[in-house]
Amino acid sequence: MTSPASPPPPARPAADRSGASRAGFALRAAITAVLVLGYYYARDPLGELVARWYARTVGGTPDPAAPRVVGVTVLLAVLFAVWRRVILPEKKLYAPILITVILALSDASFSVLENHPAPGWLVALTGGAVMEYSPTFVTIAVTVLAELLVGRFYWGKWPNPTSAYITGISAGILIKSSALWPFVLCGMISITSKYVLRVANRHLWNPTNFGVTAMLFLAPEYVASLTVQAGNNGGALAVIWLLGGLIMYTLGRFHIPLAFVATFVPLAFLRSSVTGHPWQAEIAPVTSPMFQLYIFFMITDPPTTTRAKWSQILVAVLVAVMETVYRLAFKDVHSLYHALFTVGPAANLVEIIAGRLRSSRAGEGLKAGPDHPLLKSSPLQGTT
Amino acid sequence: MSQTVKQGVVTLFFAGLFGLVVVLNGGGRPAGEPGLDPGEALRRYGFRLTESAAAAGIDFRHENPTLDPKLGHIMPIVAGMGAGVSVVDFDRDGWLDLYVVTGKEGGKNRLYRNRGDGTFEDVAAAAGVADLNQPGTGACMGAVWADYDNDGFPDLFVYKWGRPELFHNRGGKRFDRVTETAGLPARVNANAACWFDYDRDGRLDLFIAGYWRDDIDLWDLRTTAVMPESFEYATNGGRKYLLRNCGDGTFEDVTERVGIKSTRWTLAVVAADLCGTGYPDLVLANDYGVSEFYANRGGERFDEVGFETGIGVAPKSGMSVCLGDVLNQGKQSLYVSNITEAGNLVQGNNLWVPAGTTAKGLPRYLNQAGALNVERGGWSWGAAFGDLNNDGRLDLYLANGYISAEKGKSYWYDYGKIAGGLKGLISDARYWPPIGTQSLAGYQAKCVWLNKGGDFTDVAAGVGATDTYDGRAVALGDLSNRGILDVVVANQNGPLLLYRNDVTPGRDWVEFELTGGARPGQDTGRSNRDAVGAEVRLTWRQGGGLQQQSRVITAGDGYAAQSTSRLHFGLGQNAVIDKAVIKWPSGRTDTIQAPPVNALHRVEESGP
Repeated sequence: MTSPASPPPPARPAADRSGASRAGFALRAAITAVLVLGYYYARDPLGELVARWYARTVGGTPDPAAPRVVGVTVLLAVLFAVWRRVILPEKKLYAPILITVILALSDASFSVLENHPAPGWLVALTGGAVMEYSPTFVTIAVTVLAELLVGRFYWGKWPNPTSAYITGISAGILIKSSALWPFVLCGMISITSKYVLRVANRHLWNPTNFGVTAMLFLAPEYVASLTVQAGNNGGALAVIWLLGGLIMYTLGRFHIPLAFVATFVPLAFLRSSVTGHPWQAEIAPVTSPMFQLYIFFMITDPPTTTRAKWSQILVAVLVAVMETVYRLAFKDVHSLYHALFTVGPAANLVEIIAGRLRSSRAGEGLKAGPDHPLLKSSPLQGTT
Repeated sequence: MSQTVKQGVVTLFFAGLFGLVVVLNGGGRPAGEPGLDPGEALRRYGFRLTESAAAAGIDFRHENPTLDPKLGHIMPIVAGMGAGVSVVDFDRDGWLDLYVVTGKEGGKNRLYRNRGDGTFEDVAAAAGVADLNQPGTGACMGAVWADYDNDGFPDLFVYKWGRPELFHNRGGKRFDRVTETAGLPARVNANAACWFDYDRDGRLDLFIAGYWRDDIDLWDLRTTAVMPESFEYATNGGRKYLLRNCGDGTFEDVTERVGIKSTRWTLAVVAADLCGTGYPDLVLANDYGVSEFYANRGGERFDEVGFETGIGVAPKSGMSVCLGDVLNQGKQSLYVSNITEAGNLVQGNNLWVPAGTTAKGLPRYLNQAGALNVERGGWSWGAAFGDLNNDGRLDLYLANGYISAEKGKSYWYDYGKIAGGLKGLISDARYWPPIGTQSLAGYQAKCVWLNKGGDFTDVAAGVGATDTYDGRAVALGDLSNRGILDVVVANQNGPLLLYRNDVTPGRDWVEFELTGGARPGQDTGRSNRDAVGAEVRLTWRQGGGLQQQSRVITAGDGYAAQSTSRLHFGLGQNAVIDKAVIKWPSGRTDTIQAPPVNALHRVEESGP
């Protein structure tokens, strides 16, 4: 761990970079508020209308999730239309938008948010108006707040909260617990790890990977990880792959999940031959929702991946190999997390050391850290 | 402030977060105090459980069925359910008897008649209700008793993976098999059933909940694609049956007519008037999915409102559902057991506490299992509420453990591989990894949660519930007519346990045995004779305060269980009962002013 030598680039609102006016931004925000509030106000009555229409025309009762999925999809499409001029030029927003879309659709389809009952004091304070809360939303708020406070304290400037937002959503989805504190502490540990576990001004671990791994290790009585909650549904998988693949391709990082999957699949056959289990069972994890979040948001995280394309592919392959090692050697339920937890920092360290060696040979120091030109040019800077 | 100091501050904060996680995780499921001597357990908790099956002459041991060899590699997983037990006074001699089922082909069920001297005798064969696992007819999963013809003796329905069976009780001496004449379905792969009078016509109707699809013969599979299509969203389970009692010994299938369309993997069901309409609603605990709440619309139809009530939002692995007024508010909470395995799957059990009504007038529930400390119970199965120490508050007994095979070997990792696979993978048994000799959530310590008023604490080990069998059904009943609830636990591939309960002397109690006004041919406007669905709301004074508690008669709840239909209330010391308000299924209300404590009150519904 070392102390950082230079602060991160100052954060600026995305709208400013896009050239949109303040008035335009305010108008879009207002439209967004109206649309979102309108959706939540109207979704139940609309759902009933759809159900009645379905019963009349088709007969029977539709899947209760279907109207919600359609509603959220329409809402997201309209919001995209409203914000497209701001979003499209700003590639840095692609990842947070993608994970937001996944969260919204997952909740509409599979109620992934799983609200917790509100504590008695909150129920009493609100006169019973608030009976539940979303731990995922609390996690997002906590991670963003932690990023702002710790970042301000550490760098002396307000950091960009985009990465904290993604960390919050990721932790909120990946952590499964009926208590609130695992969500909150996972978010805070994830954020803080970026400021503590640093070498050459780079944080070594993917923050969410670090936070979730720490929680699974230290708090197994209360914490499990998302494993199955996507309905074992090929349609949901296809949507995530389509959206995720498209965005990763646009950002020039699709080779990372591709390399991982391309390694995981043959290794599944290898494991099958070792364990004697059906190869379908060994390959089945590739279709789980946690796997999708992992390959699109964790192993592609620019600040904690190596810089060159060839090395990113190599690291993805090594992570997949290590994952199989954990599976075969320890029957490790959390092998995905542990593989990235061990291989990711090691790869970063190797790259840092190699860079220093090259720099010393070239007679100039490598200027690393948040101002490193390679890092600055990355459109996904500081994701999960 | 220098950057080094800042680094130090943030690092300290970081370390503090880790410490906090460790501290909070340490507050996990308390193990209770093992090894308490009986006197200390009585002093500390007010009761003590002593396993006394052998002393009572009970030597029953449940055995699994052996299904189609195509399921051989995962046989313990698919065959590991169905140890059921019922507490019922089948001969109306005033002593509660036990009926227990096994699943092994050719295995005999037992009907343990209570001799009244602390011992039991098996009369199943003589009564004609033993030999129900004949090859080709399926495996017994559980039984529910109720007097469907209002003749004064409870009749027996046995649900199976296979052909369900109905027996008419002839005066408590013998049973006539009436399966065919009653018009029951030929095959239901059921794991739950209950009796209730859904249309309030004075005759008890029968609800049967399928687990596997009806067209699956588990001993002769046409395909291996019989498993759930999803770990948490499966709807390819068995259909349900609502069989309306026609009053002439036959039953009519009205399931579709009343709008019950669930094909989820139901493991438990309970019926009670939860919406306050006077008509009993149905709550289904479903494996591989959300729970369901069927609101009874005037005995004409049922609407599934699980999402609106809150209990049908988050999918888990529902194993059991039971009712209890845990907060002494006169309202029934619902306890649904699920799976918790540290580090692998932390679903947590649900305690659905009423929290007002929705805009449509439906009950709204909030899960308070975490707040009240009844959440983490391992791989949970049957649960039952009862005041085990007669202190005036309902305690909770929970059985758990799935497959106790080789110690130190676990199937969890293998299970996790297939659980997240796509429908085509998880639903086909061929792709499931073989379990071999591995355990899966085995050798688990049981939970006996003592209600302390504000929350619960697990005292299982301290009070003597120290077995680690793979528990399934839990049924409660005052087996010795002492005013104390004893506990009967049916274990999968294990012995039937009878925990005799001893309570600290001086604690008061009261019990009610209700008899509805319906008689053969005279049922209109009256309650079914077993008073299934009746509620007693008791108000009493104890320790200077006024207390109340409500209990409801059910005929089938928990997992594969039926507790006594006598309503038992613990009252605490020096209690004085204010009144008991009886709300009969017919809609009639009777009030008993100041009934004496420490007595069993037999109450008949007042005339029409």
